[in-house]
Amino acid sequence: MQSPNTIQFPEDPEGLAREPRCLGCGYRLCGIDHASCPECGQRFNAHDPRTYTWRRPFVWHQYWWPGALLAVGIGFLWCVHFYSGHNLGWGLFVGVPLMVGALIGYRPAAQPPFFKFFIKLIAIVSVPVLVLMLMAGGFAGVFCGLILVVIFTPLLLVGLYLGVFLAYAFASILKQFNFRQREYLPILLVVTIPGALHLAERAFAPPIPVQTTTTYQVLAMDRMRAWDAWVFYEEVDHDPPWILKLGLPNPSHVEGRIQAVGDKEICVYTGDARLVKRATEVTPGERLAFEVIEQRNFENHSIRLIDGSFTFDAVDENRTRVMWQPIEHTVARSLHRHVLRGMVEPVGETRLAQRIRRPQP
Amino acid sequence: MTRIRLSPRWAVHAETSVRLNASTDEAWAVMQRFNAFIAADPYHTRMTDAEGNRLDTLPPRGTALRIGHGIGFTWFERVGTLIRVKPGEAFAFTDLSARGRNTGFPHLYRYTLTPIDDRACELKLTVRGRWSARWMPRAIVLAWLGWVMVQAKWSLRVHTALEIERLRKRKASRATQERKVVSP
Repeated sequence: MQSPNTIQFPEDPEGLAREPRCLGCGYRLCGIDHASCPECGQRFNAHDPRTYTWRRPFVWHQYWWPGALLAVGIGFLWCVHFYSGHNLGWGLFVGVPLMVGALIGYRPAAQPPFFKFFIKLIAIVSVPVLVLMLMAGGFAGVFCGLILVVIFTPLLLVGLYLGVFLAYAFASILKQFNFRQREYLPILLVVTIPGALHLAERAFAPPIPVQTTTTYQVLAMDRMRAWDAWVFYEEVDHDPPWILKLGLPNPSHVEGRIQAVGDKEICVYTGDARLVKRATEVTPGERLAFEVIEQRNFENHSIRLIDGSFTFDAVDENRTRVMWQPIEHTVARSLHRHVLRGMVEPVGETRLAQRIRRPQP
Repeated sequence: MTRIRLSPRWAVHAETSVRLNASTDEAWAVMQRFNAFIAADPYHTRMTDAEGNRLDTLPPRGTALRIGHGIGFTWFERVGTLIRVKPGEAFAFTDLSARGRNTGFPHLYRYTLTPIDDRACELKLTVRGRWSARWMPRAIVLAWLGWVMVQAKWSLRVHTALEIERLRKRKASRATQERKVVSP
Protein backbone atom coordinates (compact mmCIF):
# COMPACT_ATOMS: atom_id res chain seq x y z
CA MET A 1 0.00 0.00 0.00
CA GLN A 2 1.34 3.42 -0.95
CA SER A 3 1.84 6.08 1.73
CA PRO A 4 -0.17 9.31 1.23
CA ASN A 5 3.14 11.20 0.80
CA THR A 6 4.34 9.01 -2.08
CA ILE A 7 5.54 11.19 -4.94
CA GLN A 8 3.37 10.79 -8.03
CA PHE A 9 5.06 10.86 -11.46
CA PRO A 10 3.32 11.52 -14.77
CA GLU A 11 2.72 8.64 -17.22
CA ASP A 12 5.57 7.37 -19.41
CA PRO A 13 5.51 9.82 -22.37
CA GLU A 14 6.28 6.97 -24.81
CA GLY A 15 3.56 4.74 -23.37
CA LEU A 16 5.97 1.88 -22.61
CA ALA A 17 5.01 1.64 -18.91
CA ARG A 18 8.60 2.28 -17.81
CA GLU A 19 9.53 3.49 -14.35
CA PRO A 20 11.22 6.84 -13.68
CA ARG A 21 14.87 6.53 -12.69
CA CYS A 22 17.50 8.66 -10.99
CA LEU A 23 19.69 10.58 -13.40
CA GLY A 24 22.76 9.90 -11.29
CA CYS A 25 22.58 6.18 -10.56
CA GLY A 26 19.58 4.76 -12.42
CA TYR A 27 17.72 3.87 -9.18
CA ARG A 28 13.96 3.34 -9.69
CA LEU A 29 12.14 6.27 -8.09
CA CYS A 30 8.64 4.78 -7.79
CA GLY A 31 7.10 4.51 -4.37
CA ILE A 32 9.39 6.91 -2.51
CA ASP A 33 8.11 9.77 -0.41
CA HIS A 34 10.90 12.33 -0.60
CA ALA A 35 12.34 14.16 -3.62
CA SER A 36 15.86 12.76 -3.47
CA CYS A 37 17.31 9.45 -4.62
CA PRO A 38 17.64 7.01 -1.68
CA GLU A 39 20.69 5.49 -3.37
CA CYS A 40 22.85 8.49 -4.31
CA GLY A 41 20.98 11.44 -2.82
CA GLN A 42 20.46 13.34 -6.07
CA ARG A 43 17.40 15.57 -5.90
CA PHE A 44 14.63 15.46 -8.50
CA ASN A 45 11.30 17.08 -9.23
CA ALA A 46 8.51 14.78 -10.43
CA HIS A 47 6.99 17.65 -12.43
CA ASP A 48 10.27 18.48 -14.18
CA PRO A 49 11.22 15.63 -16.61
CA ARG A 50 14.73 17.06 -16.92
CA THR A 51 15.55 16.01 -13.32
CA TYR A 52 14.96 12.26 -13.84
CA THR A 53 14.97 9.82 -16.78
CA TRP A 54 12.70 7.11 -18.22
CA ARG A 55 15.62 5.23 -19.78
CA ARG A 56 17.34 2.26 -18.21
CA PRO A 57 20.98 2.98 -17.34
CA PHE A 58 23.63 1.61 -19.69
CA VAL A 59 25.03 -1.57 -18.10
CA TRP A 60 28.15 -2.28 -20.08
CA HIS A 61 28.51 -5.97 -19.29
CA GLN A 62 24.88 -6.69 -20.18
CA TYR A 63 25.44 -4.85 -23.43
CA TRP A 64 28.78 -6.41 -24.42
CA TRP A 65 28.98 -9.91 -22.96
CA PRO A 66 26.25 -11.68 -24.99
CA GLY A 67 27.83 -10.53 -28.26
CA ALA A 68 31.36 -11.30 -27.10
CA LEU A 69 30.40 -14.80 -25.90
CA LEU A 70 28.55 -15.44 -29.15
CA ALA A 71 31.59 -14.30 -31.14
CA VAL A 72 34.08 -16.43 -29.19
CA GLY A 73 31.74 -19.46 -29.19
CA ILE A 74 31.18 -19.35 -32.95
CA GLY A 75 34.87 -18.64 -33.50
CA PHE A 76 35.71 -21.75 -31.46
CA LEU A 77 33.33 -23.92 -33.51
CA TRP A 78 34.89 -22.68 -36.75
CA CYS A 79 38.37 -23.40 -35.39
CA VAL A 80 37.34 -26.95 -34.42
CA HIS A 81 35.93 -27.37 -37.92
CA PHE A 82 39.16 -26.27 -39.58
CA TYR A 83 41.49 -28.11 -37.22
CA SER A 84 39.58 -31.38 -37.51
CA GLY A 85 39.95 -31.37 -41.27
CA HIS A 86 43.58 -30.12 -41.21
CA ASN A 87 42.47 -27.02 -43.09
CA LEU A 88 44.86 -24.41 -41.79
CA GLY A 89 44.38 -21.66 -44.32
CA TRP A 90 42.54 -18.41 -44.98
CA GLY A 91 39.40 -19.61 -43.23
CA LEU A 92 41.17 -20.21 -39.93
CA PHE A 93 43.87 -17.55 -39.91
CA VAL A 94 41.96 -14.70 -41.56
CA GLY A 95 38.28 -15.62 -41.50
CA VAL A 96 37.93 -16.53 -37.83
CA PRO A 97 39.54 -13.38 -36.33
CA LEU A 98 37.70 -11.14 -38.81
CA MET A 99 34.41 -12.80 -37.92
CA VAL A 100 34.97 -12.63 -34.15
CA GLY A 101 35.97 -8.96 -34.43
CA ALA A 102 33.03 -8.11 -36.66
CA LEU A 103 30.56 -9.81 -34.30
CA ILE A 104 31.94 -7.88 -31.35
CA GLY A 105 32.05 -4.63 -33.31
CA TYR A 106 28.59 -4.96 -34.84
CA ARG A 107 26.43 -2.78 -32.59
CA PRO A 108 23.47 -1.15 -34.35
CA ALA A 109 22.94 1.40 -31.57
CA ALA A 110 26.43 1.74 -30.16
CA GLN A 111 27.19 4.40 -27.56
CA PRO A 112 30.34 6.09 -28.83
CA PRO A 113 32.15 6.83 -25.52
CA PHE A 114 31.58 3.31 -24.16
CA PHE A 115 32.19 1.78 -27.53
CA LYS A 116 35.70 3.08 -27.86
CA PHE A 117 36.93 1.76 -24.54
CA PHE A 118 35.04 -1.47 -23.97
CA ILE A 119 35.12 -2.75 -27.52
CA LYS A 120 38.91 -2.76 -27.51
CA LEU A 121 39.08 -4.27 -24.05
CA ILE A 122 36.70 -7.08 -25.01
CA ALA A 123 38.46 -7.67 -28.32
CA ILE A 124 41.83 -7.97 -26.62
CA VAL A 125 40.43 -10.35 -23.99
CA SER A 126 38.58 -12.49 -26.53
CA VAL A 127 41.74 -13.57 -28.40
CA PRO A 128 43.44 -15.33 -25.46
CA VAL A 129 40.07 -16.72 -24.34
CA LEU A 130 39.53 -18.28 -27.78
CA VAL A 131 43.10 -19.61 -27.92
CA LEU A 132 42.88 -21.03 -24.37
CA MET A 133 39.65 -22.80 -25.36
CA LEU A 134 41.47 -24.38 -28.31
CA MET A 135 44.38 -25.41 -26.09
CA ALA A 136 42.04 -26.83 -23.45
CA GLY A 137 40.24 -28.79 -26.16
CA GLY A 138 43.52 -30.30 -27.35
CA PHE A 139 43.38 -28.63 -30.75
CA ALA A 140 46.42 -26.38 -30.28
CA GLY A 141 49.62 -26.69 -28.31
CA VAL A 142 51.41 -23.82 -26.58
CA PHE A 143 53.45 -22.93 -29.64
CA CYS A 144 50.48 -22.97 -31.97
CA GLY A 145 48.50 -20.97 -29.40
CA LEU A 146 51.15 -18.25 -29.29
CA ILE A 147 51.24 -18.07 -33.08
CA LEU A 148 47.45 -17.79 -33.14
CA VAL A 149 47.49 -14.91 -30.65
CA VAL A 150 50.00 -13.04 -32.83
CA ILE A 151 47.98 -13.63 -36.02
CA PHE A 152 44.52 -13.16 -34.54
CA THR A 153 45.02 -9.91 -32.58
CA PRO A 154 45.58 -7.43 -35.46
CA LEU A 155 43.02 -9.13 -37.69
CA LEU A 156 40.46 -9.09 -34.91
CA LEU A 157 40.94 -5.33 -34.54
CA VAL A 158 40.37 -5.00 -38.30
CA GLY A 159 37.24 -7.11 -37.81
CA LEU A 160 35.98 -4.70 -35.14
CA TYR A 161 35.95 -1.86 -37.62
CA LEU A 162 34.38 -4.14 -40.22
CA GLY A 163 31.58 -4.74 -37.71
CA VAL A 164 31.17 -1.00 -37.11
CA PHE A 165 31.12 -0.39 -40.86
CA LEU A 166 28.49 -3.09 -41.39
CA ALA A 167 26.29 -1.60 -38.67
CA TYR A 168 26.32 1.78 -40.44
CA ALA A 169 26.11 0.31 -43.95
CA PHE A 170 23.10 -1.85 -43.17
CA ALA A 171 21.26 0.66 -40.98
CA SER A 172 19.31 2.32 -43.81
CA ILE A 173 18.73 -0.93 -45.72
CA LEU A 174 17.35 -2.74 -42.69
CA LYS A 175 14.86 0.02 -41.94
CA GLN A 176 12.90 -1.12 -44.98
CA PHE A 177 12.09 -4.46 -43.31
CA ASN A 178 9.30 -4.91 -40.83
CA PHE A 179 10.96 -7.76 -38.90
CA ARG A 180 11.54 -6.72 -35.26
CA GLN A 181 14.97 -8.34 -34.96
CA ARG A 182 16.09 -7.02 -38.35
CA GLU A 183 19.11 -5.28 -36.89
CA TYR A 184 20.68 -8.65 -36.13
CA LEU A 185 20.31 -10.13 -39.63
CA PRO A 186 23.82 -9.04 -40.78
CA ILE A 187 25.22 -11.30 -38.02
CA LEU A 188 24.21 -14.28 -40.18
CA LEU A 189 26.31 -12.83 -42.98
CA VAL A 190 29.28 -12.21 -40.67
CA VAL A 191 29.20 -15.79 -39.34
CA THR A 192 29.79 -17.15 -42.86
CA ILE A 193 33.04 -15.18 -43.38
CA PRO A 194 35.44 -18.06 -42.46
CA GLY A 195 33.59 -20.52 -44.70
CA ALA A 196 33.52 -18.05 -47.59
CA LEU A 197 37.26 -17.41 -47.26
CA HIS A 198 37.95 -21.14 -47.11
CA LEU A 199 35.97 -21.70 -50.31
CA ALA A 200 37.73 -18.76 -51.95
CA GLU A 201 41.10 -20.24 -51.02
CA ARG A 202 40.14 -23.60 -52.49
CA ALA A 203 38.95 -21.93 -55.67
CA PHE A 204 41.75 -19.46 -56.29
CA ALA A 205 44.85 -20.23 -54.24
CA PRO A 206 47.24 -22.93 -55.44
CA PRO A 207 47.79 -25.76 -52.93
CA ILE A 208 50.67 -25.10 -50.56
CA PRO A 209 53.61 -27.38 -51.29
CA VAL A 210 55.33 -29.30 -48.50
CA GLN A 211 57.70 -26.92 -46.76
CA THR A 212 61.41 -27.61 -46.31
CA THR A 213 63.68 -25.51 -44.13
CA THR A 214 67.43 -25.70 -44.66
CA THR A 215 69.97 -24.18 -42.29
CA TYR A 216 73.71 -24.01 -42.98
CA GLN A 217 76.49 -23.54 -40.50
CA VAL A 218 80.24 -23.86 -40.86
CA LEU A 219 81.70 -25.83 -37.97
CA ALA A 220 85.39 -25.50 -37.08
CA MET A 221 86.06 -29.24 -37.15
CA ASP A 222 86.74 -31.93 -39.72
CA ARG A 223 84.00 -34.00 -41.29
CA MET A 224 84.30 -37.12 -39.17
CA ARG A 225 84.40 -35.14 -35.95
CA ALA A 226 81.31 -33.25 -37.06
CA TRP A 227 79.66 -36.59 -37.83
CA ASP A 228 80.40 -37.83 -34.33
CA ALA A 229 79.05 -34.61 -32.85
CA TRP A 230 75.61 -34.54 -34.47
CA VAL A 231 72.70 -34.57 -32.09
CA PHE A 232 68.95 -34.38 -32.27
CA TYR A 233 67.12 -31.49 -30.62
CA GLU A 234 66.28 -33.73 -27.69
CA GLU A 235 69.95 -34.47 -26.99
CA VAL A 236 71.36 -30.94 -26.96
CA ASP A 237 72.86 -30.08 -23.55
CA HIS A 238 72.39 -26.29 -23.41
CA ASP A 239 69.08 -24.53 -22.82
CA PRO A 240 66.92 -24.01 -25.92
CA PRO A 241 65.95 -20.48 -27.07
CA TRP A 242 62.90 -19.04 -25.30
CA ILE A 243 60.60 -19.63 -28.25
CA LEU A 244 61.32 -23.36 -28.20
CA LYS A 245 61.30 -23.53 -24.41
CA LEU A 246 57.95 -21.80 -24.19
CA GLY A 247 56.31 -23.27 -27.24
CA LEU A 248 57.38 -26.87 -27.65
CA PRO A 249 57.12 -29.77 -25.21
CA ASN A 250 60.29 -30.11 -23.11
CA PRO A 251 62.49 -33.07 -24.03
CA SER A 252 62.70 -35.63 -21.25
CA HIS A 253 64.96 -38.38 -22.59
CA VAL A 254 65.89 -40.39 -25.66
CA GLU A 255 65.52 -44.14 -26.05
CA GLY A 256 67.48 -46.08 -28.68
CA ARG A 257 70.34 -44.97 -30.85
CA ILE A 258 70.67 -44.37 -34.57
CA GLN A 259 73.81 -45.92 -36.02
CA ALA A 260 72.59 -47.68 -39.14
CA VAL A 261 69.65 -47.57 -41.57
CA GLY A 262 66.48 -48.78 -39.85
CA ASP A 263 67.62 -47.83 -36.33
CA LYS A 264 65.07 -45.93 -34.28
CA GLU A 265 65.39 -43.17 -31.71
CA ILE A 266 62.39 -42.50 -29.52
CA CYS A 267 62.42 -38.93 -28.24
CA VAL A 268 60.23 -38.59 -25.16
CA TYR A 269 58.88 -35.23 -23.99
CA THR A 270 56.94 -33.95 -21.03
CA GLY A 271 53.16 -34.28 -21.30
CA ASP A 272 53.26 -37.78 -22.87
CA ALA A 273 54.52 -36.36 -26.17
CA ARG A 274 56.93 -38.36 -28.25
CA LEU A 275 58.56 -38.53 -31.66
CA VAL A 276 59.92 -41.74 -33.12
CA LYS A 277 62.64 -41.19 -35.73
CA ARG A 278 63.94 -43.94 -37.99
CA ALA A 279 67.15 -43.66 -40.02
CA THR A 280 66.63 -43.95 -43.76
CA GLU A 281 70.18 -43.12 -44.89
CA VAL A 282 73.42 -43.34 -42.91
CA THR A 283 76.66 -42.54 -44.71
CA PRO A 284 79.24 -41.71 -42.02
CA GLY A 285 80.85 -38.35 -42.59
CA GLU A 286 78.43 -37.45 -45.38
CA ARG A 287 74.74 -37.69 -44.68
CA LEU A 288 72.23 -38.86 -42.16
CA ALA A 289 68.57 -38.89 -43.16
CA PHE A 290 65.68 -39.90 -40.96
CA GLU A 291 61.92 -40.05 -41.09
CA VAL A 292 59.49 -39.37 -38.30
CA ILE A 293 57.35 -42.47 -38.03
CA GLU A 294 55.33 -41.48 -34.99
CA GLN A 295 54.29 -38.07 -33.73
CA ARG A 296 52.22 -38.14 -30.57
CA ASN A 297 50.87 -35.10 -28.68
CA PHE A 298 53.40 -32.90 -30.45
CA GLU A 299 51.41 -30.05 -32.03
CA ASN A 300 49.61 -32.78 -34.01
CA HIS A 301 46.93 -30.49 -35.37
CA SER A 302 49.25 -27.82 -36.73
CA ILE A 303 52.61 -29.36 -37.61
CA ARG A 304 53.23 -32.70 -39.25
CA LEU A 305 56.87 -33.75 -39.03
CA ILE A 306 57.86 -36.00 -41.92
CA ASP A 307 61.59 -36.29 -42.20
CA GLY A 308 64.92 -34.52 -41.94
CA SER A 309 68.58 -34.94 -42.71
CA PHE A 310 72.08 -33.79 -41.81
CA THR A 311 74.41 -33.32 -44.78
CA PHE A 312 78.10 -32.77 -44.12
CA ASP A 313 80.12 -30.96 -46.82
CA ALA A 314 83.82 -30.39 -46.26
CA VAL A 315 84.73 -26.73 -46.74
CA ASP A 316 88.43 -27.48 -46.23
CA GLU A 317 90.38 -29.90 -44.08
CA ASN A 318 89.28 -28.41 -40.81
CA ARG A 319 85.87 -26.94 -41.54
CA THR A 320 82.58 -28.62 -42.38
CA ARG A 321 79.31 -27.18 -43.64
CA VAL A 322 76.27 -28.89 -42.19
CA MET A 323 72.80 -28.82 -43.72
CA TRP A 324 69.80 -30.03 -41.84
CA GLN A 325 66.63 -30.29 -43.92
CA PRO A 326 63.70 -31.26 -41.77
CA ILE A 327 60.27 -30.54 -43.14
CA GLU A 328 58.91 -28.32 -40.49
CA HIS A 329 57.14 -25.04 -40.61
CA THR A 330 57.75 -22.26 -38.21
CA VAL A 331 60.28 -22.84 -35.49
CA ALA A 332 62.56 -24.82 -37.69
CA ARG A 333 65.30 -22.30 -38.12
CA SER A 334 65.66 -21.41 -34.48
CA LEU A 335 65.53 -25.11 -33.64
CA HIS A 336 68.25 -25.80 -36.20
CA ARG A 337 70.55 -23.15 -34.80
CA HIS A 338 70.00 -24.53 -31.33
CA VAL A 339 70.98 -28.02 -32.49
CA LEU A 340 73.97 -26.81 -34.48
CA ARG A 341 75.20 -24.90 -31.43
CA GLY A 342 74.84 -28.13 -29.49
CA MET A 343 77.26 -29.78 -31.88
CA VAL A 344 80.07 -27.33 -31.29
CA GLU A 345 79.65 -26.69 -27.57
CA PRO A 346 82.42 -28.18 -25.42
CA VAL A 347 81.31 -31.39 -23.70
CA GLY A 348 83.13 -33.76 -21.37
CA GLU A 349 84.90 -36.89 -22.61
CA THR A 350 82.14 -39.18 -21.27
CA ARG A 351 79.40 -37.20 -23.03
CA LEU A 352 81.48 -37.16 -26.19
CA ALA A 353 81.90 -40.93 -26.04
CA GLN A 354 78.14 -41.34 -25.58
CA ARG A 355 77.51 -39.39 -28.73
CA ILE A 356 79.70 -41.44 -31.09
CA ARG A 357 77.44 -42.76 -33.86
CA ARG A 358 79.94 -44.78 -35.84
CA PRO A 359 79.56 -48.50 -35.33
CA GLN A 360 82.31 -49.54 -32.88
CA PRO A 361 84.64 -52.37 -33.90
CA MET B 1 32.24 -35.69 -54.35
CA THR B 2 30.65 -36.52 -51.00
CA ARG B 3 27.32 -38.36 -50.84
CA ILE B 4 25.25 -39.17 -47.78
CA ARG B 5 22.13 -41.32 -47.77
CA LEU B 6 19.97 -42.09 -44.76
CA SER B 7 17.21 -44.60 -45.57
CA PRO B 8 13.79 -44.59 -43.89
CA ARG B 9 15.07 -47.54 -41.80
CA TRP B 10 18.10 -45.47 -40.70
CA ALA B 11 20.61 -47.32 -42.86
CA VAL B 12 23.57 -45.04 -43.57
CA HIS B 13 25.50 -45.02 -46.81
CA ALA B 14 28.11 -42.30 -47.00
CA GLU B 15 30.95 -41.98 -49.42
CA THR B 16 33.60 -39.49 -50.34
CA SER B 17 36.57 -39.62 -52.66
CA VAL B 18 39.91 -37.89 -53.06
CA ARG B 19 41.99 -37.69 -56.20
CA LEU B 20 45.63 -38.51 -55.48
CA ASN B 21 48.51 -37.49 -57.69
CA ALA B 22 50.17 -40.84 -57.22
CA SER B 23 50.08 -44.27 -58.76
CA THR B 24 47.96 -46.93 -57.10
CA ASP B 25 51.18 -48.63 -55.93
CA GLU B 26 52.28 -45.48 -54.13
CA ALA B 27 48.81 -44.92 -52.69
CA TRP B 28 48.64 -48.54 -51.51
CA ALA B 29 52.03 -48.13 -49.83
CA VAL B 30 50.57 -45.19 -47.91
CA MET B 31 47.48 -47.22 -46.97
CA GLN B 32 49.64 -50.08 -45.75
CA ARG B 33 51.00 -47.92 -42.97
CA PHE B 34 47.79 -48.90 -41.25
CA ASN B 35 47.88 -47.05 -37.95
CA ALA B 36 49.12 -43.80 -39.51
CA PHE B 37 46.58 -44.04 -42.34
CA ILE B 38 43.63 -44.72 -40.05
CA ALA B 39 44.72 -41.96 -37.68
CA ALA B 40 44.42 -39.49 -40.56
CA ASP B 41 40.67 -39.68 -40.05
CA PRO B 42 39.67 -36.86 -37.68
CA TYR B 43 38.00 -39.26 -35.20
CA HIS B 44 40.22 -42.34 -35.40
CA THR B 45 43.27 -41.84 -33.25
CA ARG B 46 44.94 -45.23 -33.30
CA MET B 47 44.53 -48.81 -34.41
CA THR B 48 45.66 -51.72 -32.26
CA ASP B 49 45.07 -55.45 -32.23
CA ALA B 50 43.04 -57.19 -29.53
CA GLU B 51 46.12 -57.28 -27.24
CA GLY B 52 46.70 -53.56 -27.60
CA ASN B 53 49.75 -53.76 -29.92
CA ARG B 54 49.81 -50.92 -32.40
CA LEU B 55 49.26 -52.09 -35.96
CA ASP B 56 51.87 -50.15 -37.90
CA THR B 57 51.36 -52.23 -41.04
CA LEU B 58 48.18 -53.63 -42.53
CA PRO B 59 47.47 -56.93 -40.74
CA PRO B 60 45.92 -59.99 -42.41
CA ARG B 61 42.20 -60.33 -42.96
CA GLY B 62 40.27 -61.41 -39.89
CA THR B 63 42.44 -59.53 -37.38
CA ALA B 64 40.45 -58.29 -34.39
CA LEU B 65 40.86 -54.54 -33.96
CA ARG B 66 40.58 -52.00 -31.19
CA ILE B 67 39.95 -48.59 -32.70
CA GLY B 68 40.77 -45.51 -30.62
CA HIS B 69 38.33 -42.66 -31.28
CA GLY B 70 38.70 -39.11 -30.13
CA ILE B 71 38.46 -35.45 -30.88
CA GLY B 72 40.12 -32.85 -28.72
CA PHE B 73 40.61 -34.40 -25.30
CA THR B 74 37.68 -36.82 -25.54
CA TRP B 75 38.73 -40.42 -26.10
CA PHE B 76 37.01 -43.80 -26.24
CA GLU B 77 37.66 -47.17 -27.80
CA ARG B 78 35.55 -49.23 -30.19
CA VAL B 79 36.14 -52.69 -31.58
CA GLY B 80 36.11 -54.19 -35.04
CA THR B 81 37.51 -56.75 -37.44
CA LEU B 82 39.49 -56.37 -40.62
CA ILE B 83 37.04 -58.11 -42.94
CA ARG B 84 38.57 -57.51 -46.33
CA VAL B 85 42.07 -56.96 -47.71
CA LYS B 86 42.61 -56.89 -51.45
CA PRO B 87 46.27 -55.90 -51.94
CA GLY B 88 46.73 -52.83 -54.12
CA GLU B 89 43.02 -52.21 -54.21
CA ALA B 90 41.00 -52.06 -51.03
CA PHE B 91 40.56 -52.92 -47.40
CA ALA B 92 37.57 -52.76 -45.09
CA PHE B 93 36.97 -53.08 -41.37
CA THR B 94 34.01 -52.98 -39.05
CA ASP B 95 33.73 -50.28 -36.40
CA LEU B 96 31.41 -51.37 -33.58
CA SER B 97 30.62 -50.18 -30.10
CA ALA B 98 32.31 -52.06 -27.27
CA ARG B 99 28.83 -52.24 -25.62
CA GLY B 100 27.32 -54.40 -28.33
CA ARG B 101 26.69 -54.81 -32.02
CA ASN B 102 23.42 -52.92 -32.14
CA THR B 103 24.33 -49.76 -30.27
CA GLY B 104 26.54 -46.77 -30.95
CA PHE B 105 26.24 -46.62 -34.75
CA PRO B 106 27.68 -49.98 -35.91
CA HIS B 107 29.31 -49.36 -39.28
CA LEU B 108 31.78 -50.54 -41.84
CA TYR B 109 34.68 -48.52 -43.19
CA ARG B 110 35.98 -49.31 -46.65
CA TYR B 111 38.85 -47.68 -48.50
CA THR B 112 39.07 -48.41 -52.23
CA LEU B 113 41.69 -47.36 -54.78
CA THR B 114 40.74 -46.87 -58.44
CA PRO B 115 43.45 -46.05 -60.99
CA ILE B 116 42.81 -42.99 -63.16
CA ASP B 117 46.07 -43.15 -65.11
CA ASP B 118 49.72 -44.05 -64.41
CA ARG B 119 50.25 -41.06 -62.15
CA ALA B 120 46.88 -40.55 -60.56
CA CYS B 121 44.27 -42.56 -58.74
CA GLU B 122 41.11 -42.08 -56.72
CA LEU B 123 40.83 -43.03 -53.09
CA LYS B 124 37.25 -43.66 -52.05
CA LEU B 125 36.05 -43.91 -48.48
CA THR B 126 32.71 -45.64 -47.98
CA VAL B 127 30.93 -45.83 -44.64
CA ARG B 128 27.91 -48.13 -44.32
CA GLY B 129 26.00 -48.84 -41.15
CA ARG B 130 22.84 -48.32 -39.18
CA TRP B 131 22.19 -45.19 -37.16
CA SER B 132 21.18 -46.28 -33.67
CA ALA B 133 20.31 -42.98 -31.95
CA ARG B 134 16.92 -42.76 -33.65
CA TRP B 135 15.58 -40.14 -31.29
CA MET B 136 17.69 -37.59 -33.15
CA PRO B 137 16.09 -35.50 -35.90
CA ARG B 138 17.06 -36.92 -39.29
CA ALA B 139 18.24 -33.52 -40.52
CA ILE B 140 20.74 -33.31 -37.64
CA VAL B 141 21.99 -36.85 -38.37
CA LEU B 142 22.45 -36.02 -42.06
CA ALA B 143 24.23 -32.76 -41.23
CA TRP B 144 26.52 -34.53 -38.75
CA LEU B 145 27.37 -37.35 -41.19
CA GLY B 146 28.00 -34.82 -43.94
CA TRP B 147 30.29 -32.82 -41.71
CA VAL B 148 32.23 -35.91 -40.62
CA MET B 149 32.69 -37.12 -44.19
CA VAL B 150 33.91 -33.72 -45.37
CA GLN B 151 36.38 -33.63 -42.47
CA ALA B 152 37.53 -37.16 -43.35
CA LYS B 153 37.99 -36.14 -46.97
CA TRP B 154 40.08 -33.09 -46.09
CA SER B 155 42.20 -35.07 -43.64
CA LEU B 156 42.79 -37.85 -46.16
CA ARG B 157 43.86 -35.31 -48.76
CA VAL B 158 46.44 -33.73 -46.44
CA HIS B 159 47.69 -37.02 -45.00
CA THR B 160 48.09 -38.83 -48.32
CA ALA B 161 49.86 -35.85 -49.92
CA LEU B 162 52.41 -35.74 -47.07
CA GLU B 163 52.89 -39.49 -47.00
CA ILE B 164 53.39 -39.70 -50.75
CA GLU B 165 55.99 -36.94 -50.47
CA ARG B 166 57.74 -38.90 -47.72
CA LEU B 167 57.61 -42.08 -49.80
CA ARG B 168 59.12 -40.41 -52.84
CA LYS B 169 61.90 -38.83 -50.81
CA ARG B 170 62.66 -42.17 -49.25
CA LYS B 171 62.82 -43.80 -52.66
CA ALA B 172 65.14 -41.06 -53.93
CA SER B 173 67.34 -41.44 -50.87
CA ARG B 174 67.53 -45.22 -51.36
CA ALA B 175 68.38 -44.76 -55.04
CA THR B 176 71.22 -42.36 -54.13
CA GLN B 177 72.62 -44.85 -51.66
CA GLU B 178 72.44 -47.66 -54.20
CA ARG B 179 74.26 -45.51 -56.76
CA LYS B 180 77.00 -44.88 -54.20
CA VAL B 181 77.40 -48.59 -53.57
CA VAL B 182 77.61 -49.36 -57.29
CA SER B 183 80.14 -46.59 -58.06
CA PRO B 184 82.36 -46.08 -55.01
